[in-house]
Amino acid sequence: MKGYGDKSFATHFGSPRTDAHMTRHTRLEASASTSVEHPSSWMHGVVLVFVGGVGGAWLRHALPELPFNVPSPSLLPNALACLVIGFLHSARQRLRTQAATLGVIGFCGGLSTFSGLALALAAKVSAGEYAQALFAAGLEVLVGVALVLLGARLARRWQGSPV
Amino acid sequence: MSTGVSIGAEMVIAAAGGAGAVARYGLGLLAVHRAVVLTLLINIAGSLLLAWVIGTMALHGQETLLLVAAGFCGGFTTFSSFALQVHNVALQEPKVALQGPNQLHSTEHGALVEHRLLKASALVLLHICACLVAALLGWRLAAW
Repeated sequence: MKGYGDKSFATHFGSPRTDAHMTRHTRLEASASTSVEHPSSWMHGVVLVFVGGVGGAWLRHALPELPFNVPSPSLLPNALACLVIGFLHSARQRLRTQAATLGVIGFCGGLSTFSGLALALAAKVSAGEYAQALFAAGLEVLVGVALVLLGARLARRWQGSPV
Repeated sequence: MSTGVSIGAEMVIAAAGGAGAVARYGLGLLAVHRAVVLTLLINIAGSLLLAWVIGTMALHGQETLLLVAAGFCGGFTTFSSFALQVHNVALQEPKVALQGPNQLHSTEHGALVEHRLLKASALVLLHICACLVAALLGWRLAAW
């Protein structure tokens, strides 16, 4: 389970490879191509991701609509997922691999959606609303990256290191 | 977002979302590409599929399949990983800086920062444009 979970975690994050944690993951990634993973750990990862994905997808659908007009309906779930992934990514050294797999790959991936944003943008472009499409895309990316930063800052504060 | 659908429909969407997340996880384990490339390919495929299904269902009107597609593609594609990767590309310390930021000339450091921001901007543009084109293509395919 350890090697399998670590590989998927590092593959999903695509994090900087300069810190000690990711260097360990990189070695495991390199060795994983030649090793045979245990079937039970394979299933374990799938179950964790499925449970997280179900929770994320359910929340994406159950979130209330914002009281004001937003350029894309995916803004709120994507913003929330970015905050959570920023927190989990920064706090990964204090989390179990299983918790990170469930939270990041399952929950955040299930909660956030790129296809919903792409569809909203395509509808605007088809209607000739190019400026609105540009605004919607720009806003979503800026909010997303800003909330990743905020989540990382909250995680550092939680871990007691300087923010 | 809540649209006042039944509990059964919510369960279909949630289960399909879980299946989409598992499909993304499986591809992540099989892939030989870097995470950034994999996320891009997954988001392109999910955008194309969702637009095609919605376009097709608009013509034939099968609500259950629409819910499955909305759940699956939503769970399959990911915005949070994309935002995290943009954040990492823009803010990660370059390898040269491991020697210590003070050893870098200020103009060199400025050039490295500029290079990272350019890479992050290119990643955002590529992602948005590719997924937009995929969604438009999916619609066209459905009408074809």
